[in-house]
Amino acid sequence: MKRQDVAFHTHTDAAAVSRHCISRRDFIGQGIGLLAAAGTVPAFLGSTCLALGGGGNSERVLLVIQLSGGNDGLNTVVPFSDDAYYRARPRIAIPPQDVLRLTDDIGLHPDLQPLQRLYDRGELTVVQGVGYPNPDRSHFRSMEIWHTAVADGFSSSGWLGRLFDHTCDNQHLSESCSPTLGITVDKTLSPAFTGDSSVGIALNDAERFYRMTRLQARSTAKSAPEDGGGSQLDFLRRTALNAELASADIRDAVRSAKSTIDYPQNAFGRSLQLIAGMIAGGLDTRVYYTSLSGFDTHANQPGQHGRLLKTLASGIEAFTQDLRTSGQLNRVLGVTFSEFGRRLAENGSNGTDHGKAAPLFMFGSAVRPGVVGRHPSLTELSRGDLQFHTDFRRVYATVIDDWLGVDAAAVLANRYATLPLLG
Amino acid sequence: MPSTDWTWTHARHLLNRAGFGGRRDEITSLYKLGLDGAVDSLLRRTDRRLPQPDWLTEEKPDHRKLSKDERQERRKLNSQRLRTLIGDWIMTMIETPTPADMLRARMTFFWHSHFATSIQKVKAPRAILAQLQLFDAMAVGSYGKLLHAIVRDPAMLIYLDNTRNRRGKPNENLARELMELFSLGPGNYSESDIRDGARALTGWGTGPQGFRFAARLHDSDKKTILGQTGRFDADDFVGIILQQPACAAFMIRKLWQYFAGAEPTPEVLGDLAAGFRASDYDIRLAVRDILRHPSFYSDEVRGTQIKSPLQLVVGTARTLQVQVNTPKIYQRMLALMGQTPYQPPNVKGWPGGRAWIDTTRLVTRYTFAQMVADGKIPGDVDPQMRRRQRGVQFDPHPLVNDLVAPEEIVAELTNQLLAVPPTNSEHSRLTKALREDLTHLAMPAAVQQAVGNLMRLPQYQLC
Repeated sequence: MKRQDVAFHTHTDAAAVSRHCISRRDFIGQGIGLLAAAGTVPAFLGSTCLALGGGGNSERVLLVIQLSGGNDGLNTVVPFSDDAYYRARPRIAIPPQDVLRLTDDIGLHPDLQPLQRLYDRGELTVVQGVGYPNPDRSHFRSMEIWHTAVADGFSSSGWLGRLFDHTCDNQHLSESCSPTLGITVDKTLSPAFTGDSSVGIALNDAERFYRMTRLQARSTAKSAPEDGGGSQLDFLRRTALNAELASADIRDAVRSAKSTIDYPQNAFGRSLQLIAGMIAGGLDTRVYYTSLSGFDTHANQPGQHGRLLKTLASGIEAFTQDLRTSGQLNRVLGVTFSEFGRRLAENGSNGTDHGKAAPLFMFGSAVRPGVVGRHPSLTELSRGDLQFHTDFRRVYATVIDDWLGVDAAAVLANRYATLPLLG
Repeated sequence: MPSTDWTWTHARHLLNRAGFGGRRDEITSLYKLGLDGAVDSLLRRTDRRLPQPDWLTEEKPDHRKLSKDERQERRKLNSQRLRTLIGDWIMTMIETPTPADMLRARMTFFWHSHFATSIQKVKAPRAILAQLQLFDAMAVGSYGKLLHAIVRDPAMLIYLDNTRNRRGKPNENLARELMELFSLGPGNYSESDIRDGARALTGWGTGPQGFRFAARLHDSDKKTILGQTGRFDADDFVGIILQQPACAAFMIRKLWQYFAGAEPTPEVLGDLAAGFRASDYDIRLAVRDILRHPSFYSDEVRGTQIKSPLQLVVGTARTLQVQVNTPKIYQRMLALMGQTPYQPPNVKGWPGGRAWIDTTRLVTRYTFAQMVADGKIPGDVDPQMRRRQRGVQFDPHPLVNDLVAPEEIVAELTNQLLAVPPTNSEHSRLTKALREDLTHLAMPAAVQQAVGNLMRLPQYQLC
C-alpha cells in the first residue's frame, strides 16, 4: 500500500492524492463496524490509492467519446476532390468551397472549425477507413461490437471492463481495483465498462452524486459484497460500495479544480467540463467515457448533423484549452468513435442510411498529427458502402499498448498491430 | 408445478412479476386461488381505462394557417400535454384496483418498450395517445394483429421515418427495425430483405386524420422478401414475417425475459414458442403459459430480477398507497433512474437487467426511499424536485396492522416487501434502527422510517 502511494504520488498533485486516501480511511473508520457485521471486509478497502498499471504510464488518461447513432463520416471528413462524392450526394454534399481543407483531397465539415484549429496546432489525428470485417448495419449489434471488441461472436464483457480486470489481475489485486479507475459521465455507465471486477462510476453531476450517496450512508443498509460470486445481490452491494467510496473523492477533486475556460452551454460541454475537473483534481481515473447522441440522420441531415458536429468540436476545443491551462493536456488522449458510418449515396429524405467504414479522431498533445490511412475508395464499394481498411481494434490496441502501457493482446484476446498514432 | 408445491411465497412472486407486487391481503387472496386460478384471475378481462384528456374532443387547428408565434405556442402546448399524458398514465398504473388491472398495465408497458417510440421525435399528443390506446386495447390480444397495426400507427411511422419512405427513394429505418427488433431478431433476415421490405412499406404514412396510405408514393413493383416474391405492400410484408418460425421464438424469448428476468432454457423456449405459433399468436395464452410454467418458479428465476425503475416506483407507490399531489414527482424519479415512459434511450427500448443499475442510478433509488420515508424530497439533492417537496405521504398502518414489537414489525415488512430475505445482520440492524426511532418518534413515523431503511437494502431492488 505504501509503495503504491509513493508511485502514485510522483505523478499527480500531492494534495489531491492525500485527500483521496484520507477519505477512504475515513470511510473505513466509520463503516468498519457495519462491514464487519456483514461478515467480510472486502479486500479492496484495505488498499487505497491504487493506480492502474502500477507504475509505467500510470499518469496517463484516456477519454473515449462515443458518437451514438452512426456518424456520417463522409460529411465529417469530406473527400472534396472526388467527383463520386458529389455525384452520390447531390443534395447533402458539402460544397468544396465550404470544406475546411486538411490536405489536397480531404477536409473537415465547416462546423468543425475548432477541430481544424487543433489540427493546425498538431493536436489532432484523423484515422481513416475504420471498421471491422463483415460489418453489421444494426445500431445495436454494431455498437455492441465496438463496446466488446468482439466482432465474430458474443462477449459478456466490454473492452474497457477487460482492461480494468486485466490490470487489476496483473497486480494480483483483483479485489482491490479502485472503483474510480473508470468513470462514465453520461446518463448511465458505458457497456464498454462491463467486467468481472465491476469497477466504474457513472455520474453527471459531482455535487448531486455526493449528496445522494450521503443518503445511503445514513441508512442502515450498508453491507459489503459477500462472495464476489456474481449474484445480482453482490452486484448491487458492490455498486453501492463503489458509490460510497468514490463520491467524496470526486466532489473534492472537482471542487479543487479551478477552471476559467468557457465551455459551450450544452450537456456535452458540461460533461467534458466535469471530466476536465476530475482530471485536474487528481483522481486516479485512467479512463473517462462520455457520449453525444443524435447521429442517426436518416432525414433532414444537414442542419442536425452540423449542430452535432459543432457541439462536438467546440466541446473538445474548450476541453483541450482547459487541460492546457491546468497543465494536464500532455497526459490526456482523446478518441472519438461511432458504431458505423453512413451510406455513400444520400437517401430520398435528405439524409443517409446506415453504412460501414468511417473515420475517427484522436486528439491531445501526444498525438502524431495528420491523417492516417487513405480515404476509402468511393467507387470500389461494398453494397453501396465504403470498405474499411483499418480494424478498429488496431486503434484500441494502440491506445492500450502505446498510451496506457498495458498488454493489449491480453485485453483484446488477439494481437492487433498498433498504428502510428502517437507522437 | 404440482398444486401441492404452491405456497404463499409463490403467490408473492407471481404478483411481483405479473403485476407490481402487492400487500399481504392481495398476496393471500391470490394464494388461495391456487396456481391455475391465480393465473386465470390475473388474465381476467378488465375494463380499466387509460387517461382521457379533455383536449381529445378539441378541434385540431390547421397547422398551415398558424403564424410563426402560434406554431411556437402550439409546440409548447403539445409538449405540456405530452408530459401530462404520461404523468396520468403513470398514475393509472398506480391506481390499479385488481391484479388483472396490473397485468394489463404491465403488458401495455411491455408493448411500449417493445415498439419503442420517443416523444423527443414524435411531438404529437394525439399520435402518442393513439399508440398508447392501441397497446392498451391489444395488451393481451393477438400479436399478429398488433404487428399489422404498428405499420399503420402514426407515431411509429413518424418515429422510424416511414412518412418519408417513398417509391424510388426508400428509407430503410422501419423495415430494418420491424424485423430486427419487433418480430424476428438479428440473423433471421438479410440486407436485401430490408431493402425490399422498405419498398413494400413505401407510401404508408400519415395525414391530418392519422394513418394515410398514399398510393402514388407506393412502389408496386415486385419485391423478394424472406424468399417470397410478389408485388408486396406493408400488410403482405407483415404477413410474411408472421409466417417465419423465428417470429414466435423471438417474441416468447422477449416475454419470458420480461416476466422471468432470465433467459429461457431451450426446452422452455421451444415449448412455449410452439404453443404461441399454434395459437396464431394469442398473447393471453402465451402469458398464461409463462406464468404457469414450473421454470418460472425456479430458484434461478425467483428473486433474481432487478426491478425496473417503473416496477420500483409504481410498485412502491401502489403497495404503500403513497399519496402525492402531483405525478411529476414520480416522473422526475423515473427520469433520474433511467426510465422515462415515451423517452426510451433508442428504438430498442430499455436494455434492463444490470443496465438499470450504476452508481448514480442506485443512489437515486435511495433518494426515492428517503422521499417515501420522510414524506418530502430530501433537502438539496435535486433542485428540480425541491420545489415540489411537500405532498408525499403514506399510512404505514395497513402494512403492519396493530403490531408493536420492533422485531415483529420488521419481520412483517420484510415478508411483504422483499422477495429476497435480508441477512441476519441486516435484519438486526433494521430492528435496532426501528427501536431507536421509537424512542423519539410516534409509531407511524417510526414505521415509515423502517420502510425507508428497508427500501435501501439491495434486496429491495430485486423481485
